[in-house]
Amino acid sequence: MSHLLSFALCLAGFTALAFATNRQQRDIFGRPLRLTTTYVHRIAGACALLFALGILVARQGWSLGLVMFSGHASIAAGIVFCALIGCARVSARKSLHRS
Amino acid sequence: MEFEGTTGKLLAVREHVGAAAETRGVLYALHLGRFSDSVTRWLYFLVSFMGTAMVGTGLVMWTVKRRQNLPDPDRPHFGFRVVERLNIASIAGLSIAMTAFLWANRLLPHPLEGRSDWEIHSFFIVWALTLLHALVRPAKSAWVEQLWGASALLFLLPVLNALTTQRPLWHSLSEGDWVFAGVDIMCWALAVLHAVLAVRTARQKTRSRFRRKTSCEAPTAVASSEAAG
Repeated sequence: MSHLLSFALCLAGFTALAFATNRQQRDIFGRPLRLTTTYVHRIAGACALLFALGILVARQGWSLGLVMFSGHASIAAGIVFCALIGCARVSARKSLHRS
Repeated sequence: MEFEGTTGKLLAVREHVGAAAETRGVLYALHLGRFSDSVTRWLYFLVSFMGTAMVGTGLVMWTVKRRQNLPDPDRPHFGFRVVERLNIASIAGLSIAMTAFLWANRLLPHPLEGRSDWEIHSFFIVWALTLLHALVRPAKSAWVEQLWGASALLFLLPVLNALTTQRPLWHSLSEGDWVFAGVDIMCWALAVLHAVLAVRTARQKTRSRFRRKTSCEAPTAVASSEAAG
């Protein structure tokens, strides 16, 4: 259960951090978001990652908790990264069909 | 634990070992993935796999980018060719050699003296053969052939398991032995991955040729190894 919760938090955290970057805001929303919204995404993303780390460390201790967090964070980051690439490709294809 | 050499009687049990032995134990467990629950071990495998893939793709990217900067990308210099061929043996050849190690483990006769050593020898012999193959074949063909070779060996390994061991996949599945079943299923997953890589590499060749025929631009190196052929 702690694995699932921690992984979900990592996924949400990296998604929020991705939405906090100018490039992804331009690509996904077509315009940069307000500065306040960007900061909220950054803080929420960082908090989600820290919370995931806290859950694993509380359950498994620092040694195994850190190893598990490293695995969850890497896989979650990879999934978010691949999803962003997939989204960019889909939107590029759509715009190609329109033109 | 300490035992009496002649009778096997337990003499002493030491709960704690020194720092050096403890460090060795931690590194050994990390190296073999013998720690924690199965979810963490899968995470460890996937993260390590991603790291290895990053090194492999980095090697290929390096040659592709370098080729574009050469005076004549179709006729790379000697050093570039050496790096290119070493890349083939290091990436595709390593997959073949590692699978050959598992094949040797199942095929070498049991009364063979130094059997475990010969398993290791098989790994290095096959790896050297893949380097030889990469040196004598055109680079693009060497990539495709070695990737297909690795795919075939990986795909057939569970079949070999079923024929030569007491642990065929259906037996592992019916027993709920997910460690053995996981190895067989991962072999098939990796076989599919190598087949996809082989097909994509082969297609890349056609595309780059097509580009050359249909455009007037200077020949650019889309693939890492086309020119050597």
